[in-house]
Parts: sequence; C-alpha cells; structure tokens
Amino acid sequence: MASYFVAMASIAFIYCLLALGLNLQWGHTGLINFGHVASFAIGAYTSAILSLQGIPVVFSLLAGTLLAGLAAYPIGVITIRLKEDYLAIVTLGFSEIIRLICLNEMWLTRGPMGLPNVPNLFSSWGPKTNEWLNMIVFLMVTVCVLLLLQRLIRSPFGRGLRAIQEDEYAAAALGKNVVAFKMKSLIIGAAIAGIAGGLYAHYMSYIVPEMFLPVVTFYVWVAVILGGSGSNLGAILGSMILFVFLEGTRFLGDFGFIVDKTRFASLRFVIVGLGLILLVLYRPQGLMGKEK
Amino acid sequence: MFFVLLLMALLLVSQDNKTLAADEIRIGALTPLTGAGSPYGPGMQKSIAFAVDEINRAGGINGKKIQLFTEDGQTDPEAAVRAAKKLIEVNKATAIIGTWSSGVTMAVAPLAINANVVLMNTSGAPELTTLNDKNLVFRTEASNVLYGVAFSKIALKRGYKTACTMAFNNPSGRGNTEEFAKRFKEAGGKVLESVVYNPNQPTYKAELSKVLAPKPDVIVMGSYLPDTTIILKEWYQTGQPMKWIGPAWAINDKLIEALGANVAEGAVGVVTVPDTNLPAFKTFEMKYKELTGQDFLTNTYSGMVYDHTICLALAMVAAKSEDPTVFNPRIQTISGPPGVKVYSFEEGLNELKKGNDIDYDGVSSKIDFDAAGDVVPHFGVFEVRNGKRERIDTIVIGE
Amino acid sequence: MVDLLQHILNGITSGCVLALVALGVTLVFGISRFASVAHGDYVTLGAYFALVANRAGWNLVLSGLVGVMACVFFGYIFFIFVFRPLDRRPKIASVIGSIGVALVVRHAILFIWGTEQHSYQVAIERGIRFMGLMITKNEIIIVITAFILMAFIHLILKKTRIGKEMRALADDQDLARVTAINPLQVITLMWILALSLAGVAGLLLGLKSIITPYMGWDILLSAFAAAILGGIGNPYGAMAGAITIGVSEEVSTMFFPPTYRLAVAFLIMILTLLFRPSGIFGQKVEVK
Repeated sequence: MASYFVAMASIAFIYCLLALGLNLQWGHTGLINFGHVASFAIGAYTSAILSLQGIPVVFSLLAGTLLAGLAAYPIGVITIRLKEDYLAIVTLGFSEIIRLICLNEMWLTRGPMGLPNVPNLFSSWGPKTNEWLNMIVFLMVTVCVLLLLQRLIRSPFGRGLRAIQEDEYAAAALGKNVVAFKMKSLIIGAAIAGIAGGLYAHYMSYIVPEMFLPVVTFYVWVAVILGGSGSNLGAILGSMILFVFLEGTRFLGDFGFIVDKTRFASLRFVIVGLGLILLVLYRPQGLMGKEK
Repeated sequence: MFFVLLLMALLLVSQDNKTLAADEIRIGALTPLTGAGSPYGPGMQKSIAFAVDEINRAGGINGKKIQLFTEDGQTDPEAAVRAAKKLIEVNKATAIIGTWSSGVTMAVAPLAINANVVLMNTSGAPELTTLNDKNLVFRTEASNVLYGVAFSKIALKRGYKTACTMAFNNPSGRGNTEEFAKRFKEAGGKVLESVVYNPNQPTYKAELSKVLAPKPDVIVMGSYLPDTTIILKEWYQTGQPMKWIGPAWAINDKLIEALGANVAEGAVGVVTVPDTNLPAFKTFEMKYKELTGQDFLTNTYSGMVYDHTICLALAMVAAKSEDPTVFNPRIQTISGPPGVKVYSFEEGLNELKKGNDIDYDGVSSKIDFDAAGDVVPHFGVFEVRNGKRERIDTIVIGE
Repeated sequence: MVDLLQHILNGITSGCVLALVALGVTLVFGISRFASVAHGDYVTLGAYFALVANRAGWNLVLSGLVGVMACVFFGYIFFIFVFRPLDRRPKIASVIGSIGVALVVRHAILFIWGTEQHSYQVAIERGIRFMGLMITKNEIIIVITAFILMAFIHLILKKTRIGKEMRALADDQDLARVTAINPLQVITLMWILALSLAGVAGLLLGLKSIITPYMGWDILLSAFAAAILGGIGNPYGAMAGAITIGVSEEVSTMFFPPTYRLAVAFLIMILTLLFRPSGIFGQKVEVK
C-alpha cells in the first residue's frame, strides 16, 4: 500500500518539476509556451539514449538537462519576437515536430518500439529500496529547483522579469535587454523540464513517443493555472491537485457506481473535466494567485 | 491538502485490503477502456469478467473465489503504470490481464516482474519474446513476426508475384509487414513499396497512392479497423482493382458493415481462431454477443484475454498454489501438449482432479505457451465473399 | 505532374473540411480572445448527432442540420455557464475552461455512444475521373459547402450591421464597448456561427472518413495551425491557411516519409510566420 503512494508521489514530483519550469516561463515572464512537453521529451530521450550506451546516469541526466535547455534557444529566437497568440501554436508545432522525430528516427530512438531497459538510478539496490530512494531523490530535486527559483525571483534577474511583465516598453526604455531576459527564462524553464524528463525516463525504465503528446503540455498548464500563475508554490500545489484529480478519480469506480466498469472509464473523465471547469470558475486566478 | 485527505479517505473506505482475505484470489483487468485501443477494451474487460464468473461458478480455484478488479489502461503507458501500481499494491492482484498496446505492456512489464505478478497481454512487440521476465509475462497475440509469416504463405499460395505493404506506425503494424516482406522476398516475391503511416488521420490518400502506383498483385496491411476502413474506402473510389490481406482485428464484420459488400469483396483476413465448431467456442461467441452486442471475431483480443484468465486459473489449480512464482511454469504445461485436450475451465478442472495432464485449447487459438511465454497458433484464413466472411484455409506455422 | 496535381486536389478537399473548423476557432479567438480547445470536440458532437438522425432514416442534409443544432445548443450552454463568466478574467482561464469542456464533451460522447466506429448510411462510390485526376462526389459536396459557408460568413461580416460590429469588436474590444455596440448580441452571433461551422465540419468529416469519439480532437492541432497561418482572427486567412496546410501535408508525402507529414505542415507554418509574422492575411503584429 505504501508502495502505491510512493510511486504516485514520485510521478507527482515529476509533474511538479514540469510545472515549475512552465511557471518560470509563463508566470514570471509571460511566455505562452505550449511546447513544454518537447523539453520533457528531449531530456528523457537524451538521458535514456546516453545511459543505454553505457554513460553513467548522473552524466546522462546532466546531458539531458543541458540539451533540453539549449533546444529552447532556436525556438526562442524564432518566437520571442512574435505576438503571444502566435508563440503558443509555434511552440506547440515545435513539440509535435520533436515528437515526430522521436517517432520516426528508428536508428536513434527506436521509434514506436520505444526504449526499454533504461537503467534506473538505483538499480542495484533492489526494487523496494529503489522505489523509496527514487521518490526521495525526486523530492529533493523538486525542493532544490523550488529554492533555486525562489532565489532567482529575488535576484536582479527576477526583478528584471517582473519589470518586463509589468510594462515591457518601460523596461526596454530603461535599458533592459528584454529579449535576453525572455530567452534566459525560456532556456532555464526548458532545462527544468529536461531534468524532469531524464528522471522520468530512468524511473519508468521504458520510454516511447506516445508518452510525449501535447496533452501533457495541456495538463501542465492546468496545473500552473490552478495553482496560480507566478507562484512557485502554487505550481507545486496545482500539480498535486491535478494529479489527485487524474489519479484519484479512478477510486470512484470502486464504489460500484450505477454504471458498469467499462463505462465508468469515460464517466471518470467527464468528472475530471467538470472538476476543471468548476475549479477555474470558482477561482480563476488559481489557488495561490492574486486577484487580477 | 483537502484533496490529499479526500483521496486517502476514499482509499481506506473503498478497499478492504488491509488483510488479504484468505479465501480470495485477486486478479486485475487492465484494458484500454479509453484512448486508441478503446474499440477493443470494453469487450476485453467483459470477457475477462465472464471468465472469472465461469470459474467462480465451477467452484473457484483450490476452493477460493476470484475477485476481479478493473482499471482503465487509457492506451497511455504512464496512466497504465499508475493503474497497474494500484492493482498490484492496493488491490494486491496476483495477475494482471489485458494490456493491449505494446507501449502499455512494455511500460507495465517491469512493475509486474519486480512485484512477481503475472502479466498476460495482447501486445505484438517483438521484445516481449526476449524479455527477461522470470516467466511472468505471457501473451496470446502471436508475435507480429508470425502474422507476417502467415501473410506471406497466403500470398505465395495465391500465386502473387508482387506486393506492397501498408503499416500502422506501431510495433504490431511494422512487425507484421516487415516480416511479410522478408519472407515474401526470400521466396522470390517482389515488394514494390512499403509505406508506414501515422494513426488518427482523416485521410490516407497520399499513402495509398504510393502503394497503388506500382500496381502490385496484392497489398498487405498491418493495420487496425479505423484506418483500414478509411483506406479501403479511398481505394475503392479510385477504381483500381486490388487484393488486400490483413489481420482479423482490421478485416472483419465491422469493416464489412462500414464499407458494404462491394467494397470489402475479396479482402482476405487472417485470424488465430481455431475450429469454430467447438462447443466452447460457440458458448463464448454467444455470450460475447450477449454482453456487447458485437460479433466476437471483430474483437479477437477479447477471446485472447478470456483464454488468459482460464489458463491462469488452470495453472493455479494444477500447482495447487496461487503464488505466481510457484504456479507460473504450469501456465506452459496446462496450455500445451502433452495432455488431455480440454476446451473449458470446468473440463480442465475435472481432468486435473483425476490427476491428468491437460492441454487447454482456447477460443482465441490453441494456446500453447512456449518457454518465452509466446504462442505459435494456427492461422485461419477467411475471405470476404458477398458481404460474408468465409473460411477458406488454415495455415500452420512451421510447415 | 498529374501526381502532384492529384495531391494538390486531395489537399484542397481535406483543407476545406479543416477550414470550417479553423474558421470557428478563428472567430472565437478574434472576438472572445481565447483558444477554443473544445472546438474539435464540438465537431465530434455534430457528427454524432447527425449520425443519430441519419440512423433514424433522415437524409444527410437534414441530419447535418440536426448536428448543427446540437452543436449550437450545447456549445451555447457552455458559453453561458463557462465562458461568459470567465470573460473578464485573464484569457488563460478560458483556455483551461475550454480544456475542461473538451474532456467533458469527448467523454460524454464515449459514454453515450461507446467506443466503436460508425459511418453514415451512404454508399461508397467510385470517384469521378477528369483530365487524369480523380474526385469523389462527396469531395465535390465538401468543397462547394465550404465555399458557400465561407461566402456566407463574408456576407455577414461585410454587409450586415452586426457583422460590422463583429469586426469592430475583433479589432478593438475596449473601443467597441464604449460605442452603441451590444457586445452580448455580437458574441452570441459569433458563437452561433462558430458552432454551426463545427457542426457542418462534423458531418463532412464523418462523411469523408469515419465517425469516432476522437475524430475532432485529432484534427484540432491542424485547425489551430491553419488559423494561425492565416492570421488569427482573420476568417479569410483561416480558409487560406487550412487549404495551405491540407495541400502541404499531401504534397510533402512526395518528398518525405508520410509519417512526417504533420511535421512538414507545422514547419511551413513556422517558416511563414518567420517571414510574415502576421500570418498570410493577418494584422500587423507588434514586432519588438
């Protein structure tokens, strides 16, 4: 039983990391990035591929993080000058292009076959210990990233971001290199998603392109908004709520509902959808957000 | 925080699993009730439930009844992993049956193996044969490789010299068609064009034109029902005469219904189902129709998971144990020769009580699990004639 | 050469169906300023209600009308209960609401109608050949319908008072609100148009391919790409963008593996935006 909670907590921390990354890009910088899952995928595949080649997991994770961050650079160059409405679909297009590359380049990623036997962080310790250690590591990484982000927000960089969010033109007039700030935010946010991806790949020990569909990006957005844009703690809270929704609703089926099991499956997502609608209607600024 | 508490409360209330009831065996059904596999998932779940019902009515296993827990795999590897975790850790299932897509099975397998839980699936990924699985992972969908072999035998038998292939972009589709191409070429045939396509498109005209252009004798498909429906529809509109061979989950009554007799005429389907005159088969067919309103042959996966459940139960009876590490070798012994042929749980139970070895032949195939947990079935071949499927041949692999 | 022309023709017909969805999406964006993520599922809704009518023996036109009415009815309910209350909030809240609506609609359809595929009761016929090319009767219907609807929207926008008000509201929300324009009236009409388009798209898509609970969701991304490509908020752009996406997807298969076709469509969209940041017909976008 505890094992179930440990596993769920581990996956929830991955969502938290993704939300923290997106929150930096959106909540603190106002970038509507709908391609977040691409950074997740790049981190996951890079770390998986390298570690399967024999490179120690620590280094492959690092590589995944760096590559995910760097990959955000060309996207930033293309899209930062565009109006926000366009940024969304361009980043979405980018994430689909990445997914299709993962799906098609069999020589690199084995395409739809996926990559099995990705070494776990703690393979040699036995499955039960392995689980707990994984969760603790994910928890520590999440806390570290949170603390780093909080430091970042209080730093001159963070002040710059706030100034840009308040009034971009004024900030530019005051000499702030707006584009550079946005790029840094995009890259750091992507790198955070890259860490999440790498950790995820090693945890699941098997990755396949269908784990990196745009719907993941949508869910991370829900987490960030539900938690309250601009609040890092909110991003974590929102992820937890989203996760409880997605995972917790399965238990409703065990109450022997009026419908049979097979139809409950679809009803469950009607409930999730309704829940989202109610949450966003009741508190559209998110749980930790400020009234706008 | 409130939500976390709510979740915990729900958990505690809904499952009385603090102490494993001594007179109960727990099994999890993990099928795609939503997502891309959803045309097959509900029927699969109902078949598992039906098998559990039959087993319980015949007295259960070693005097214990089975309790079935159902979860939705969502055709999504991550969601399925969470569901499997719940089945294993919260519901204490000793076996999980019904994972359908290769992505889901490959993601769930490590969990099952680590927890010493049997995983019976209907996925086609080749890796499942060579997986280091402590003999816990079994499947009754013939590895795709075998479908490819069957396709090529049919094509050669009919005297086709040239062929093209169309493959759904997943391990099954690619596996089927690649193996077909290999065997066909070995036997002197020519594969003029091979196209792989992504799912969920509203049109496949561009892909179709590539395989129609060289005017092959036949087009071999590694496909599923929705894409096959669209492809054959768009092909018929071109007016070009063509022969089609594909797996039974694509070429079946639902396809004929969607396309009409004209369009489907001549399409050849390949299925692992054995002699359909057996009483057990007829019983299952009727029950499936009653449960779902559909013809079982439109969802052969449902027969597969029915057989999984029966095999699992018979293995537990044969080993007089419900511990997967103890009974798992029996899954091979009760499903294959030597032994008295049995076609239902009750028959198997009776023979085992008498102390005989058994060989269970199921509704989906003759189910002889080999050492790797794979099945090498016979293939039934049928052709669509005047809007009906007519069985025309049987292919035995290894002949 | 004939090959290329056939691909272009195929792209135009699939682009026309996409255009109706893109039109709906761009209308919602132009006036209510958020991405209607539920739009694909409205399309699916229309297709299924049309199916119910068709099963009851009604012909395709009447069935289509039933589908349209269902779309407008349910879509409008969602507007009243979800999107109107969120109107004054940051637009991202409406997107989240739209994600919720999408989940509800899609899974309600799954719940009610099950997971199997369906088709309208229409015989499949050979295509019509001309000049070495081929087109089917259904495709001709699709193209004509799309153009008629496009012309209809054009007339409304240019020739009617409320159409002008719509354009004003799309252009500058705050300014429009201080004039005598009744925003509720305009927004209501906008939703009726956008939802009707989705309903028709559902019928046509179901006619051209098959009816499944995921059919609309599966084309949503392409619809958004088309709307952006044409310049978000611009109806003519949505049509042009959709046909461009349709054609580029088809033609790309001549040069790249078909499994990359969506990537090519996106790439073309991205490249176009690089050189024409406002989209093909879009308003001048602020460049920093």
